[in-house]
Amino acid sequence: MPQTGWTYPHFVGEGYTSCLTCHYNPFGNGPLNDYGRALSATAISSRSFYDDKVSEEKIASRSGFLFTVPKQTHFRMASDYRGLFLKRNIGTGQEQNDWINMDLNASAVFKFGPKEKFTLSASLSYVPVPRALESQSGADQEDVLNYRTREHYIGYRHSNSFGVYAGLMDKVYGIRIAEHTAYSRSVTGLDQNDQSHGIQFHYAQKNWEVGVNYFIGNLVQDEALRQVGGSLKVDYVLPHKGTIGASLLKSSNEFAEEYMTAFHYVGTAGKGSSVLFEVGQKSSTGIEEGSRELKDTYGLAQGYFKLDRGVYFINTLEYLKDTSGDKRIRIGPGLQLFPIQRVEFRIDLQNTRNLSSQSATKDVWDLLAQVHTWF
Amino acid sequence: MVLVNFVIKSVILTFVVCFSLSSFGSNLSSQSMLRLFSENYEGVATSYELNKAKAKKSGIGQLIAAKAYEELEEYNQALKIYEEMLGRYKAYDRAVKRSIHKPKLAPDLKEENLLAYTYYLMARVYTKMYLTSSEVNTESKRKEIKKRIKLYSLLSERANGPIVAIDELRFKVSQRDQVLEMEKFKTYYYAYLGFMTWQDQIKLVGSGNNIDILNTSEGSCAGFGVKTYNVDRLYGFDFCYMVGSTTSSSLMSNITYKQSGIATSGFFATFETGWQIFSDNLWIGPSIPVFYRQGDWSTPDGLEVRETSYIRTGLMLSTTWELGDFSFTSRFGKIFDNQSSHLQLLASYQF
Repeated sequence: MPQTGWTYPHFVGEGYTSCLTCHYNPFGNGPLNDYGRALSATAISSRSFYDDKVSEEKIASRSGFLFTVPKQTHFRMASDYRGLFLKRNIGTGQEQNDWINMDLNASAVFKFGPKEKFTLSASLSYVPVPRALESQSGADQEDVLNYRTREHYIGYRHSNSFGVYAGLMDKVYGIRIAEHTAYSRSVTGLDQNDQSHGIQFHYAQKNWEVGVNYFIGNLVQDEALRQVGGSLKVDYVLPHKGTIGASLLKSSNEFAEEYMTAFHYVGTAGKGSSVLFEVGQKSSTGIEEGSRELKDTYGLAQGYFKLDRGVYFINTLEYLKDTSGDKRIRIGPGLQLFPIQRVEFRIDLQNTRNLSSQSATKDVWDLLAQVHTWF
Repeated sequence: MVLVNFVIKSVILTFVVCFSLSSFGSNLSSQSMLRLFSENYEGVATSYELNKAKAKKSGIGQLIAAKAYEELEEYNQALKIYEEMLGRYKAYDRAVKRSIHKPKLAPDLKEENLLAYTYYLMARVYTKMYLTSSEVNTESKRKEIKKRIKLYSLLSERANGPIVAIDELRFKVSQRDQVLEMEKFKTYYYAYLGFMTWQDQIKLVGSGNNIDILNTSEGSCAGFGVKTYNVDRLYGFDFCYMVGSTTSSSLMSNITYKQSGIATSGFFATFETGWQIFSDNLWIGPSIPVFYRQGDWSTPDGLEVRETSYIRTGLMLSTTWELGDFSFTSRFGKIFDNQSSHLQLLASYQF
């Protein structure tokens, strides 16, 4: 289920290999910059609702906050909403239909200093009570913060090749895909609410990028739970514009140590289309003596194919193997539409299969239909 | 005086027609002339046939008739007339042909001359034939026509013909060759290793009861395949031997039946077709699998296990991503009568 603000690495198919082209954050996600908004309005969204006489420049000029063309370059605002209709357990007689307000957020970016080298970015989101807690007592629900910031940082871009960022951000690791329930995000603890305070360094050259992240956990969390550690991510742009990369992450809190590695590839498959792969492993070991090591291995393969401007076919395959050796495979075709700028519809059919040595269970089929709009 | 007028008009008309027919010159009068001649090609051709003897005496008449035949796509008739026109310049024609391999022997012709244009026009007619599928229906004929285009283009060059126009003909031929090359079906063989997973059922039968047992399986497979493809379309067949492992459970809550690690084996053969819709290294299309599997389920006392083997077909969507000699394929779909989807992932190496 995509979450607002996360990047679409698939747009490498449009020829972009660096997240910084469209995002203020060099590792992707968070608010789009002016170029990113213009690109989403033109190359990505359909122009079916526009007269042929309306130029691409004109369409791009309407991509700003509330359709305005900013008169200054220092301050930008954005807001967006994403809702999901979820139909679970199709064909089992135990179908469930839910509407989930996944995210409603507002963000602001302030650029200042000489040559606007400093960036201050902050977002505030409305977060609904998780489905798992909805049936629990009012006290449990009260513990949930309905409003939270998922990102606030200050960045200094010394040059095109080097920048440093400090604050609350997503950890630097792996491919930042939009689907927060993907195993590559949920298993690794890089879910939609797993941001961490810390400092990040970004260094880029023509064909490669390096990200280094030291983090101390989310300061809103109990201190004992905060994962403190560091991560490293390296990307190399191949001659045909594909990107190959690797990530490492090591962290610990008072209860466990975690160590993660991943390898990824993001490549083009024709104009506007792309394929991406990530395989990785996460090891968790309890701090207490004699604790057992838990190991999860995951894989992600996704094809993202442009059928027409604003129309994409998505084919996703996910794999997860846990410590017990049980495996889970999830596969699903999807269709994503951007009928006009600021509007996204997406529908996915997901088939999840458990490959367990304990018992055979029926496959689960879910339907996910989303609407996403931003201003 | 009448004779002088006729000669002057003939010379003027000859150049006008030559320039018009060979795409040279753009003044209004030449275009008007061409339109005049273009109004009724069949009439021109018929008139030429009826007055052939007279017409052959006039280079202009022959040119107009040849052009009419070209427009009517009667290329052999047009070529016949151009051959006859070459007869007007026998000595020069022989000299130019001798100079093909020895450029120094090329006769000293003026920059613009009818012989060179005639060669060019012949090359043009052969090019039109080359670009017309019905005229090039065999490989030998294609080669023969291409040879003639090459010959007359070279002759026209030797005789100071229109270089730019000749190069345009060569470009068209080369473009056609590229299209033909892309349309040509090529075949390759490949070996692959794969993973597959599926869900099906067996039945426990005894004392008049049928108990459905759900099987979740995964397997590895190794096999060979053949693909034939051109720029648009792919057809393929592959076959693999599969060994797998199955976990089985009863779907009825009051019946306990569980087995895991059940040895399963079989084959998976696939007929597929595909299109390059998105890019030149990505094939997508439907495939029809034929799946045979058998397993070694243990039989509880007093019960009989049925459907331990079957052969079934289905329908799947196949996506293949090529990366040099390697390719990666995912197939997802349904084996008819199975309980859920079938997934196959392959890594192939082509020979």
